[in-house]
Amino acid sequence: MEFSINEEQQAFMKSVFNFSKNEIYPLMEEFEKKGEFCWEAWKKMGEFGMMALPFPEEYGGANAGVLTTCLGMEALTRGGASGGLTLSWGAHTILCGVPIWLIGNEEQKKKYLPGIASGEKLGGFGLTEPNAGSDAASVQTTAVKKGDKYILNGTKMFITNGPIASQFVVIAVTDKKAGHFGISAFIVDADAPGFSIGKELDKMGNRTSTTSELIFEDCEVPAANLLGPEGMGFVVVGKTILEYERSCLLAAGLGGMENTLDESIKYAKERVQFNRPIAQFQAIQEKIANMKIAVEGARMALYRVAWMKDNNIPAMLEACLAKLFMSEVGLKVADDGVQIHGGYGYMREYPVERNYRDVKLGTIGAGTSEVQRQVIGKMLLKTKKKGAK
Amino acid sequence: MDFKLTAEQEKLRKSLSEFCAAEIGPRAAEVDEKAEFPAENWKKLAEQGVMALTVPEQYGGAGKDLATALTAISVIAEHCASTAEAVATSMLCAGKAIEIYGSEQLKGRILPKLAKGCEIGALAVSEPGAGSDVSAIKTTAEKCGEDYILTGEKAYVTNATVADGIVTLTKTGDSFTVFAAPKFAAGICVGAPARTLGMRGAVAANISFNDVNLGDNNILGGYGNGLAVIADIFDYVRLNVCAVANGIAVAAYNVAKSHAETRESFGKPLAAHQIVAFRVTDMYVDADVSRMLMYNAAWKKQNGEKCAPFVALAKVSASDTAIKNSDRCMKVLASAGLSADSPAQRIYRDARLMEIAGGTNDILRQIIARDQLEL
Repeated sequence: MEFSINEEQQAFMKSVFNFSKNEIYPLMEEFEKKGEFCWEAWKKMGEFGMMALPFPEEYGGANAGVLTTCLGMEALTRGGASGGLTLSWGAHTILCGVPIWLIGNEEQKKKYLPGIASGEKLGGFGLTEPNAGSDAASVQTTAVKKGDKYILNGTKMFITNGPIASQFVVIAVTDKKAGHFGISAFIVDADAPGFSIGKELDKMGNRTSTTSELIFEDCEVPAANLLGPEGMGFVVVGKTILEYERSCLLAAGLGGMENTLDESIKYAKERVQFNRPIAQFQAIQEKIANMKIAVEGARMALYRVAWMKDNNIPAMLEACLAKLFMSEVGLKVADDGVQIHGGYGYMREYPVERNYRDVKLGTIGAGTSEVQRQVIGKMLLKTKKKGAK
Repeated sequence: MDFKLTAEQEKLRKSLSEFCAAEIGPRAAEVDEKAEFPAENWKKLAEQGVMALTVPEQYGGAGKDLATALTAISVIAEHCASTAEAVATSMLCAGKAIEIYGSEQLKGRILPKLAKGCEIGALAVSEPGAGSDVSAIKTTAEKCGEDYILTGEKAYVTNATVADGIVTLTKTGDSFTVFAAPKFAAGICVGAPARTLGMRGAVAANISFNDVNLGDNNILGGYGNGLAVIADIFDYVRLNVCAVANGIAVAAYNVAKSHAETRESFGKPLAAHQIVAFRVTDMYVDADVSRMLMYNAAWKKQNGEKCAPFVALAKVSASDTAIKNSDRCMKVLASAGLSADSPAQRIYRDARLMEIAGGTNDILRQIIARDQLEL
């Protein structure tokens, strides 16, 4: 075993952290309050190369590998980028970009990846529907082939970047009778005929990302935009992005926890009550210690998935485990952070207040904690009756 | 970055697992019942080369790294936590102190015997009036000509009843000094075995030093350097607790899993009931994360990095998980877990020591917090 981050990676993290602290964080409060996507921060991130991280160089990417991508996103959030901004990064880079990169044909990759890697063509991902959340395979949106087009009908729900994205990877049923193997993936351009955006959704946290419904009414998608073989969309896309989203997307969660810890340490040292900094009280120290234990455990869980992916080791169990563990301890870390700040932690101008609201999505998005336990439990436990086949 | 054991470590883990499942596990209940040092287990593990793992090759050891030793201890603890604690105390607490801080003569005399397992080591720091507050100890070593006279009483010393040598911390005027004392030295008196809730085979007892005469050669790490020496050794002590605790956490998971898969209720195995399945899943998750934290801390220690806070947090995580998992295991087994014949109740009792040994988790959280807050 070997747990070091090499010098190049350390330098990269430091530069991302400083970039985030100096260029991104100062923009966040205003947009958080407005609940709006911050294009200025997005453009800066694009210029800095954050959206290029995982992709091959020939498509404008940085070929950074999964671990380095994770380290970058961790540093970005630790530096003060809001959960909303990093969520938009995830929907764009990981949920839209990665399946096009790993499943798409050469033409699709050439057409879409450079714009995704630069950040100029914002992306999104449409799987969840009003009636299909954890039970993802129960999607009802249909795609019927007609000549050289597919005609899509249905509604997608809670779609990050919905109102502002240029293209989406969308999951729809092409053969209802075939179950899991009758679901396909498409790249849908936002200007496709019959495509429209539903109402923008008002969220508890991650407010600097925009979220909406996507509405497909006889929406025409060129057959060339079918992503992967017909009928394999759910299986292939799911498998491809799942481990990525449960590593690269989680990295921002680790950075968020570290941000809360950093802010809490700073506050505990400055805040004087009963004639001494509250850092000197054992009850505050205990919270700081518990936060640090959670952060380091989360770091292990996350880095292991990243390391496994970089080494082509299947990481389904480890990815679900990381997602479950990190999001659950994240709640406690965020809570301790607000508690240490007392009344100030309840005020919008303090980052811990925002972190507290942002972190809740962790146990819900990309598969609830209950779904993670279900998946892990199925891998660990025999649930068949004795003698049953 | 590399999260896997080496091929050699993996091989050891596998063969030792098989060995312990056949030879150690079946006797765990008896070890607990008798509340005696598990001499037979000790002998068998010594024959397997376990005691030699960390001892340098020039002293008859295998010269393996910490990760290898911790892997072995975890595996033993999965099958019998008491045995693992006794082994680790000798190998990683007393053994490391002598290896790192002993004179060449002392090392040449003691390490080969520890490696063979024909001698047993103990570490005596706590006293009736000083536990977490180490610098409050009252045992003294007074210089008398060329020699030192030790006086005082040490408490809760694991392996005390069987140890051949005792590493102990004393007060020497305003400073502290660590000594390695042979058990046969005149004036050393071992008290009655403590009757404990759990870990009954890792027998602890008090040791009193009544004008025990030791020479310069018995000093570890130089006169007056006791606190620094013991701080370093505490990292090994805590890593050993990590390994035992992780073993207990896994044992609890294994017992719960097996029960959930075989016991049926409402026409299906318990494991097919969501609440039970999720509980067992959480046991796996917490044990897995704690294990990574242990290896991470051990890696830092092995490489001479600043590691006290990382060792502390790994120990807190592992011991909290051992206790939590032993509790979850009892819930999964329900009435069956209460039976004296069930490993669940033994695991439940054994787990408790983990948050106390090597510094209580309260104290370790302070170490972590003070590092974070730069206090």
